[in-house]
Amino acid sequence: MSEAPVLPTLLLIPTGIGCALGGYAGDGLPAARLLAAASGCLITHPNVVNAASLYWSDRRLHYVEGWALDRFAAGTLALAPRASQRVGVLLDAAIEPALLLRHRQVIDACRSSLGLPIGPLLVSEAPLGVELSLAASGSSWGTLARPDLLLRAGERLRDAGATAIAVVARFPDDPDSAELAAYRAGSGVDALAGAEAVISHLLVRHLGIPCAHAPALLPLDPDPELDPRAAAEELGHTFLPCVLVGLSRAPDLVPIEGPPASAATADSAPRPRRPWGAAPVPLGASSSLLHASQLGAVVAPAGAVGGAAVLACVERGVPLITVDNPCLLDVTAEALGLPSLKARSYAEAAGLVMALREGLDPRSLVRPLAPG
Amino acid sequence: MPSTRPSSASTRSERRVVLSAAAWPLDQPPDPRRVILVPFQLWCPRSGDSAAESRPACPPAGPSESAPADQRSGDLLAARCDAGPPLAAATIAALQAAMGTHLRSLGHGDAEPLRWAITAVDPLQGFRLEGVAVAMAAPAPGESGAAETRG
Repeated sequence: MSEAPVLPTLLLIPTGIGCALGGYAGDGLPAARLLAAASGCLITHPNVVNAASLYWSDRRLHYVEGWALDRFAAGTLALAPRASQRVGVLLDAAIEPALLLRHRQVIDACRSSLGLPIGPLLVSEAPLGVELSLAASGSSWGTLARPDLLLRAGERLRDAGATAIAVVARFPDDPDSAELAAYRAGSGVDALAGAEAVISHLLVRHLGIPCAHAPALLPLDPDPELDPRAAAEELGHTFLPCVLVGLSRAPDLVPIEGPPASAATADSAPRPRRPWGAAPVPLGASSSLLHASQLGAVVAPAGAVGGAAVLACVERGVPLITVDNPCLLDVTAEALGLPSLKARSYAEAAGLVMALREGLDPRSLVRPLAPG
Repeated sequence: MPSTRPSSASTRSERRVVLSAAAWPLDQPPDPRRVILVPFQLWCPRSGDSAAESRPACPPAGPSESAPADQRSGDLLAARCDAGPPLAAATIAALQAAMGTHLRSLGHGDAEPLRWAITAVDPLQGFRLEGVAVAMAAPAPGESGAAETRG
């Protein structure tokens, strides 16, 4: 008996909002692997699967940065899987020589031990000036003093042949902060994640090629009470290996010509600029492209469904599966008036994805049977 | 054999036409030197929320100690006015329009939300949006462009 067709599924665990699962050091990876197996094709963002020195490479799992993910969900950008990317590395000039050497050695290791095509490397003209903040909601975010240097360096790497870019910015060390202590104890928000997302969003928007970020930080003193979900970040000297591996197989970002699949999103997501990456193609021009019209499900934490990607999916009629995954926010499907399928865990969400993939009505699996 | 290549003069002319018709960020890469990041926060009232609709369009200027914590925040440019009319639903188009209106009120008519989300839903105040936008700084007098980050 033949296997059911794949059900392209989008997994979102928003960055910097303290999700109990996925809000730490790539601890969303088991859920992503399960959903990739259940769906046969999972699209997710780096925060879910980046675990510093740990990673898991799976051809069914597509590594797509958040800005591009929003455009993909809106139907203005398609994904073109490819065998490999040449990953250029952009290093912040603020990184100290010893720490810089550690990063260069990670690059050497990924080239020699994993065979990844990496290069060129470039150090920014001056420090990028990362600044961290917390929003009123408690979610982390941040900004750069010199976004111009980030974008110019990205342009140079792209022009020199990089088809994807890993950025390593020097983040402020604050080893004694209460926020870091809470994070390492498993009860806080990743204070770096929001600023990381801003950096990668800015670069992807500007260049139109896959990009992801790893922070450069000095090592912390060992903590015997460290939460297992944060442990991946204590294994090595950098957070770079997972980014290099993820980007090495990230899909190309292909702007789509013509109206998005949903008229409701026509004014919402600015269409990707033309100069980058690939030339715009008409939808349907290539069967190898992955497009939002093929999405069969979107999976998100129950309290964090107010992001652009989830809203775009719901507007185009993609089933929303909400998972009990406590976080800072309480923006539920009910509060926004969105239809949803509820799952108490990612294992249950995977069951719902399999039901959809098999063409089953998930409501048929529950008693009493809901009215049709 | 005559060349089919247009003269450099006509190429420049055609390029001018194309550039004048293009609207960044759709077709033209921005000048990196002028890119700035603009954090924002706003409340979008919901239609059908009688309390919100009867509320004055804008609260008294400036955060006060009696304001909710998020409106006292010095980190974000808090506001619940200038978001446009109440929203019937949290559609992306409506939220984008509200963000656009708000960013214009901050003096960034060309700003594009870079990363944003609804971070709260309140029966009285509506939807709270938090995010960071990308905008272009105006060139400083006598300069062709200047890098700047706000927030």
